[in-house]
Amino acid sequence: MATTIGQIDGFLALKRIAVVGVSRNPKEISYTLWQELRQRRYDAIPVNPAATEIDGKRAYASVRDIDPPVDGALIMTTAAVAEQVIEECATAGIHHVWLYGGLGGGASNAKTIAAAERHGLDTVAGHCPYMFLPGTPVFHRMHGVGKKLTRSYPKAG
Amino acid sequence: MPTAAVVYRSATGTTRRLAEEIGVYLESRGITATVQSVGDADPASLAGVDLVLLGCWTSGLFIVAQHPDEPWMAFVRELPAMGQARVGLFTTYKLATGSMFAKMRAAVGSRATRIDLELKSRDRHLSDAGRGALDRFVALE
Repeated sequence: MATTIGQIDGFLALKRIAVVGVSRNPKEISYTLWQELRQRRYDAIPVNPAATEIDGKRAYASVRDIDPPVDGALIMTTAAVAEQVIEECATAGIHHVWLYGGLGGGASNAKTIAAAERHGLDTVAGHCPYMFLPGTPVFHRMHGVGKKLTRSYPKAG
Repeated sequence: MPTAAVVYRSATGTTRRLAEEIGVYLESRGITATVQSVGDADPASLAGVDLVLLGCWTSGLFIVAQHPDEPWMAFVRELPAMGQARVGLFTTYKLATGSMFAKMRAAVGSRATRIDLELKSRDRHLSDAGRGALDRFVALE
């Protein structure tokens, strides 16, 4: 099922979000997006099994380890890893997931979408949150314009 | 020992690095400085600080319509009246700051008695001129 603007707005209205796959490299999109969410006052929890701390914040190996639990998970791993993360989200009782999609690929493909649907998760499939956050730099807005031109922008609903 | 709060909004890390350089420089001048993003800083905690420096990257369409972005504006809206604190503004930019400082000043409005510093950097580093401006800012009575 195609993602709607309503689902995106619903996800972005959550306050406590796990960001799965945050890199320790400040040049990586996962790191900058995690920081962006933090600066927008989200309680954004980094998940990276290879790190115990990122930028002074405790990092978790799995969404299952986060206590108190998060409201949603933004999954920024590869699609292959995302399948496992979806399973962990379902186990942890996380009902809202965003399978990140960017210019270089992401966590969203037919298999991960099917896995999320199998668990009944409210799923944003693909797309980059930067396109939907208010007042983002112009190149992120241009990404959204490009999606509209190619009719791959989410529909209202 | 005087205290300073350096609060930044950074989209790509450039303004963050400038904020960190400002913090280090203030420490070298004998000022206890904390450097935090708008996501981490508690607006209410700025009420008792001697020096408040608020920074944001320059958003806009290359050379027109420059403005601070929404996360910075949201933080400023929550600021208390800063009393006698000396308040300064800083920004990073690519081509021009244009109306950036005017819009930052307007956003801060009456929360600050006065704004004594406008500091900008194109390359994220604190220049000699920037250090001089900070020295004058610190020395103000």
